[in-house]
Amino acid sequence: MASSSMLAGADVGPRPLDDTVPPIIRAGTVIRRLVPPLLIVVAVLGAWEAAGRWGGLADYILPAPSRITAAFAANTALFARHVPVTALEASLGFVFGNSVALVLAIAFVHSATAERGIYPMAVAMRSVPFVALAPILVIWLGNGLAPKVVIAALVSFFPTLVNSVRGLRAVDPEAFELMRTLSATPWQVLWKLRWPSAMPFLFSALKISAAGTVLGAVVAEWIGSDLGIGYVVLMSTYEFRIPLLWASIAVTSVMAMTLFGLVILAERMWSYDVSSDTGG
Amino acid sequence: MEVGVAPAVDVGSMAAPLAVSARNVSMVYRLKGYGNGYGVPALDDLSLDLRPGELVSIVGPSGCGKSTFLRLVADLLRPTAGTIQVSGMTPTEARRRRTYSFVFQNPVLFPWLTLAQNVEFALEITGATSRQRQAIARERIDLVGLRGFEAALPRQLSGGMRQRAAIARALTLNPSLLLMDEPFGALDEITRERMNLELLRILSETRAAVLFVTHSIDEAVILSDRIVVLSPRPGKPIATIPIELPKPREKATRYLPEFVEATIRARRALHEGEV
Repeated sequence: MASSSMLAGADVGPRPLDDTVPPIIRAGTVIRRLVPPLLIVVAVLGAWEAAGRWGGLADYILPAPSRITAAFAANTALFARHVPVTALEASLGFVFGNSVALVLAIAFVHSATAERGIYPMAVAMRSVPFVALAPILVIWLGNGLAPKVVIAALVSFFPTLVNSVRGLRAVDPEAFELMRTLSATPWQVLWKLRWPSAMPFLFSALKISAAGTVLGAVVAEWIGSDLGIGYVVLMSTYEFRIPLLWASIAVTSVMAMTLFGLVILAERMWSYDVSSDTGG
Repeated sequence: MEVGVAPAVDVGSMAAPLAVSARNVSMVYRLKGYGNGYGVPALDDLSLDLRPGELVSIVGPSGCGKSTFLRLVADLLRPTAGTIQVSGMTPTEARRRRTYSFVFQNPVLFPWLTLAQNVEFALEITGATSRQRQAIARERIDLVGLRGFEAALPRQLSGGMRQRAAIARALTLNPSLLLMDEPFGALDEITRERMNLELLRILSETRAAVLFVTHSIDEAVILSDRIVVLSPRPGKPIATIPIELPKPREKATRYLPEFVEATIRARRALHEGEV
């Protein structure tokens, strides 16, 4: 608390800002933006910890953050074994699901027949509960990596398909006319007009599927697996190691957030308007 | 060069074909789901000649088919009846050979490209090398007065600057014909008046003929060698008004009695067409 208020004070203080040191100014802006959410996180964790230590909140209901941290620290070897498995399943699922969605979206935009034929099926697939699908996939594909990757892919597939189709169509009609007056090839229309127009849509879809894909992999591991975070979740539940259960939940969140963060990073690298959007 | 109605054309101008020659052009928009007999008539029996280097404005109320006519010339639409020739070619041939450039009501700049990249875009599509693109784009950016803004993104530019960029892009292909569809329609009047004179200055550096669609009578008069007034839907030419204002035209041109007279003639033709 003391350190953050000191930082905030340094940031808003009457110190004259010098044009020649923009990195410091930017660091100041970053701090100003980070302080409020950090304060809230610290406050919530503090209250949680207090409730566990002095409020009589039982471990099996909600272990204090320090207990969860301790459980994590005591099981780093366990996590080191299982996290990479889930990470691999989720990343492969993410890549496959989104790639298929993109290819289909491009096909739909160019062929009404393809869209009429396949889109309803894709929408129907959306309403299939993938948790129920997991056992079937295990029967089909065995106990290894494949069913988890498929579930993770299915989860990321749908948002990307819908958003990419919308994005590839979100083109100013006059821009199409411009392309036609230039006698642009269909390939040029796709890559120089439709694709960049779709990027904002694509990134919002990827953000949705980033979290979903990790979740999909974890849930798929519940069905039949002795590897992966999903397995750790199940195992710690059966063995009533509640702090470990919470630690694995936290690890899952961190994995989802990491993927989410990578998407945001990619968006920043591509995006042309980030700098002008952050004004005020 | 500014003395005559049409600036001097290349050697062999005697044989130079008309920039646009439209004969009895009609256009009916078909309605989906109805039989062949149904449709919305947009243009009715329009004939028009545009000589090389000439600037003709088409003026008419909303929905009179003036934008439709530009799109027919540009091969973005096919006429229901009549024939159109662009520099002696069919519109399709003219489009394939990039004889004309189209300037839209919206500047149609891509938000993910810088101004310079946007200006280079047409050349990129036509397959020019990057060195050619940069050289030509730089020259056109200078011509439209945007030097120093090459790295700016469209969102950082004013409406007038964006339309200047669109004009620069259109000129990168050295078109012999510019089709302009209310390019200044979204600008405020003060900016528009300035852009009108800017356009004339820019055009004096090129030899392009211009077909200019607008619903501003003032704009049509200050720019044109000739104004074609269309009736309300379906658009039918009801008057052709030659504009014999001295060139180069400038701010003070708008104070001349001849300017006012010409606007009155055009306005009267429009009003009579409404009856």
